[in-house]
Amino acid sequence: MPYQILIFLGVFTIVTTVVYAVCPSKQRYIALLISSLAFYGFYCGFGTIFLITTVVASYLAAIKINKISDKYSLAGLPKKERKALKAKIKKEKRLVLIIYVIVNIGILLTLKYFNFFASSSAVFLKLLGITVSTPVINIALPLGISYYSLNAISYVVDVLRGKYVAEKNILKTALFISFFPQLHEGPFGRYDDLMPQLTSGKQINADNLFNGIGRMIWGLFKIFMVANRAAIISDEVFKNYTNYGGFTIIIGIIAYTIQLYAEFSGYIDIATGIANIFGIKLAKNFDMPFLARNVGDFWRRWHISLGSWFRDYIFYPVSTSKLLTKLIKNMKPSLANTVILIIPLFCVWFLTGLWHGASSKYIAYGLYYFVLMIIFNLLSPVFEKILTKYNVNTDNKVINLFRIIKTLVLVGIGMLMFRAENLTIFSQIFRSVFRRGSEFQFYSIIEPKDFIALVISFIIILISVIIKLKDINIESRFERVSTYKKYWICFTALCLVLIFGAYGLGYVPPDPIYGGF
Amino acid sequence: MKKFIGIICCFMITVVLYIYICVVVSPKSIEDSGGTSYYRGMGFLAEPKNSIDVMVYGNSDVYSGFSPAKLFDEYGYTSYTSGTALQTIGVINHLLKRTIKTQTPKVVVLDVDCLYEKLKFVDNTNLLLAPFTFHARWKEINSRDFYTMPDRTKKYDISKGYVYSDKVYKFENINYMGNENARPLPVPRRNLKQLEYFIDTCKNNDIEIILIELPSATSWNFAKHNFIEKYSRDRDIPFIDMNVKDSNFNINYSRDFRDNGDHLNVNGAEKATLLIGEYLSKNYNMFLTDKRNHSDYAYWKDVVDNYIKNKS
Repeated sequence: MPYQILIFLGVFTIVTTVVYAVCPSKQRYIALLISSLAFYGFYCGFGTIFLITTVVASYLAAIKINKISDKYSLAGLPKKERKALKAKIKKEKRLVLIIYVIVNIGILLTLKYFNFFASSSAVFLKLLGITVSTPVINIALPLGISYYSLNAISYVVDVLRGKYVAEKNILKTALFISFFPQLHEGPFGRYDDLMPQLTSGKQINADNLFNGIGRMIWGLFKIFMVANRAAIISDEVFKNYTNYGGFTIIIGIIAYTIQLYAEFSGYIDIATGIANIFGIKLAKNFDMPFLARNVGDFWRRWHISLGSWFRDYIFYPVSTSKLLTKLIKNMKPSLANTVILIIPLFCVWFLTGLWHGASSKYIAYGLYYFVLMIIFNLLSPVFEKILTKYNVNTDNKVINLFRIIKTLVLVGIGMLMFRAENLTIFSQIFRSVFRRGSEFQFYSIIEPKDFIALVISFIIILISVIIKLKDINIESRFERVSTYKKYWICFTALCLVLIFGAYGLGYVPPDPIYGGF
Repeated sequence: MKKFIGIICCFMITVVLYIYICVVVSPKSIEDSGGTSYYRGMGFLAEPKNSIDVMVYGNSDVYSGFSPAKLFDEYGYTSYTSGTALQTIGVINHLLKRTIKTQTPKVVVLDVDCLYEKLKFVDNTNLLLAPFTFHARWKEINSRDFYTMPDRTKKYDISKGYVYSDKVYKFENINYMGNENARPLPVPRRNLKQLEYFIDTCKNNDIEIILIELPSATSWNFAKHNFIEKYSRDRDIPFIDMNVKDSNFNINYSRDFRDNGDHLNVNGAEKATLLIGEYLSKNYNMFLTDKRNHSDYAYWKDVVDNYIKNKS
């Protein structure tokens, strides 16, 4: 049932709001934790055991890392011994981190990637003439495992880096990892940002309540008015791609891009709205991604919290690793600069692809962006030089528009790869763009009134983007209006989504795309 | 105090507005569609007493796929299609009970797809849930909806429960039935109990039962077919599955469906009706009589004319 998660979120938000409001200030974080665990337990059942394992492992690892620092005293030691002791402490801490990562990532790898790697190995061995039967793990992927696992790792790594001390209260660690609004599709949170908010115990007030509800309705609007209707078009084109060609395939890709954005950002809006009710601000995940001027810029605006996670916990550690430093030591500076860019970027994009799913198409999806990034990094200085030589203003509106369109085309190809069942189908669909297919019977796929509703709703989203570009902050304007006005705005918007939304009978509900990760 | 009164007023206005929205979006009579829910299935309540010989029950498949006017035109049997979207066997039992209060059907035809329907999430008889149940109805709302109260009680329906559609959707997935030897998929226990009750009620009232499955690519497959086939064999009840070759339905994938293989259009419905009609005339002619020239059933001429008018 695709809307089950929304119903669960709705029910738990109402119950949690009431319980949170009546709880004493100091115990409010416990109310949030109980709600989060109950939410997870009801939704995932047996899968909760994996969440609890991650919580316990993260708590113990962080505490152990802290204890290692406390165990040794550097005071009064000569410089040489102090250096040796520091290295020893670092080594011990790293050992704890390695064991912790093996446990945490081990669960993720086993549940999410085991079948993929096992079947891929079998195919590889078959090519070598060895036939093996591969075991299959049949455990449903626990909700949000890809999100909470990375959240937990960021916490332990930051403790190791000395960014903050380990949390002594396991309940607080558990709340940070399992906070229910962000379990489904994120966004990724950082401990030092979230923890003070989660445990502040601030009473719910009318402003936060309506700001949160408003944001949630905006998310519902994106999902039910835009994403579910765009899905009608994209599903038809991608299911029957052999029939279509040229412009129809392009329409399918555009529809899928709109669907993915509206749905993913819609769920993030709902999560952000729920957190807002409790006075908690979640990390920003989108910033007008389709106005990006290059693919790097696109990823700084799309799924921002994932990008920053990979930057902080993969890109920087790999860039500054001893191994890489040794590797480039004797290289020419120009080559060293290229290698120091390529290797960390490869790691980031390979893992980004793999994070999205256990499939070769997702790995290819990640590597596609890796190649684009490398090309962009290598070619942009050349283009800059040419433009400067001919005195072309690089901030020119036409050039910017060209850059945006170029990025949209490249992102569109990425979306096609993301949507296609596998790489073979991707290449078939991609080739279909350049051939003539059968006529697309638009109104036999989507009813005219549904299409009009889709167009109007999409225009509303575009207007919100234009308003943002004009530096008008709708959220803060909404925050400033009176509570009564907020109430009626929310009521009217909810009724509109309720009546005109695409759900239930007559619509085939698409499964949440990012929810599957 | 002022704030308290403000909150109360706000609450009252919300309640009134919400109820008004519920009224606006609700179907106003059984002839209105509730988005994709149709209530014509209840129209048998307004039929003359003991005038219906064949009752057809099921979900949206039957109101799309069985035309009583066509059956009467070809065989002279009076029938009524009592189906609504996502109809469950529990609701059908309720309808059957109401049917036998005023009618004495000789044969009931049950489309078995409904046996796999789960419990409805929203109750479509509850006015306060109308925006959820009938949300797709905004496409059909007209000015009358803003000032008319909903009334889905007794109302004569000239199309006898059938919902006409000449929309054609070229359907591609001709292998939707899957593996012929698929492991039988049991009907949920709750529904099986209700089916037993349905069979018992029919037997107690001397009503013959035919199980059918109209072509439906999105909800039917061999796993379900194999279970129902065995069940019907064990209970000695005929079962006609128009999704399999033996039924002689011969689905025309580019002509018979109105949507993505889910529901038949008028072309498919006529084929299905004629197939059932032929089966009825072969096997139940001792109970069923041709009423085309019977003066008491002259009003059925209007039913046929209305159907033909829709087609032209």
